[in-house]
Amino acid sequence: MAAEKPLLCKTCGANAVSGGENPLCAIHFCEMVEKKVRSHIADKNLILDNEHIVVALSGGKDSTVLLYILSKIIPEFEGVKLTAITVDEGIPDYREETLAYAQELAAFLNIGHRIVSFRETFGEPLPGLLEKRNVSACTLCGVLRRKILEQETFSMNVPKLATGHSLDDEAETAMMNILTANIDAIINAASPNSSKESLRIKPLSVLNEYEIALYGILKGIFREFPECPYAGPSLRAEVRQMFLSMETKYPKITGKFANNYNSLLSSIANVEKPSGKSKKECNICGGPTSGNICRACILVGTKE
Amino acid sequence: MILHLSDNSIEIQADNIPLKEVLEMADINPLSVIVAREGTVIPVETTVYSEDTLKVYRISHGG
Repeated sequence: MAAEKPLLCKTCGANAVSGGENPLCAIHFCEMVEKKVRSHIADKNLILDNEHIVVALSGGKDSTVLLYILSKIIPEFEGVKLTAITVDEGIPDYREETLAYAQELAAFLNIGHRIVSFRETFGEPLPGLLEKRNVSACTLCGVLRRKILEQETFSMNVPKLATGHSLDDEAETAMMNILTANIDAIINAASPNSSKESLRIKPLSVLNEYEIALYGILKGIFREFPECPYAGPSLRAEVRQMFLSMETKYPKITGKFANNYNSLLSSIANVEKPSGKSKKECNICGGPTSGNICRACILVGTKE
Repeated sequence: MILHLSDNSIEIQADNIPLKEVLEMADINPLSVIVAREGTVIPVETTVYSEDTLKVYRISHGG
């Protein structure tokens, strides 16, 4: 039997950990990932000197890698401070592990960390809030998590909220907005923030899920957690599968789609929405909304 | 060879073939996982053998 000829790093000739057109060893793969994020931050001015940035840290792989990479990059700026915020939705037999890991990681990286729960903010954990509300768990959870992150960031007078959205997340959201003809959401994403919103930055949106996961494994910060008990069939899951299938035949199509969509967004900023709704303040909480009452206040206030 | 996933293990009868083919035999999309052999991550083009034990990390989404 002929000896196996391992794939070698195109930079240094060591054994590669990634394949395809870009075989790289562990060291050069991690360097490539960090370089991509650094370039994205510089090109888009995502971080400026003397800023305080809140990092949404769930404890999952994307936010874990985000906090890890940012903690490496911020010493290159003058006076930048990071604070991690974790939202505890109170999902039993699921949240405990990721919460503990988020605490461990923030302590390891020496970054200030706050945990804010659904119970203290909305009176009940997710299972309780779901009772008698005719809404899916993922919809309610997503809206309320965003609400907490927005509120906390705004109340701390922090101008920027960093999230761990990947290139795949961006492509999925774009495709979902197109499939559901959600023109308001598309224009919203392109429009400037209101005075009640922190600026959202997505430093990992130049990396695909594979790159994020592999970086996490190579750095020893990747943890396998159980799937959320509420995870189930969804449009996002279908779209994700669709991109995964297409990637097999048309490599990099997900990234190309996300980038083309973002180019489109930059050309429609400030376009009037078909609904005529503009960003204003919620009559109940004062947060940003396109109607009179924000989605979170509607969902929390509505019981069947 | 044995494939260890996070929640179970799968035995695949194969020898001296690319990892990509082994994953497809196990009905796993090669783009949805990362695989390590003896603690070292290997690309899907790597040749794997019947005596290999592989750790399969599923790329979970979100978080």
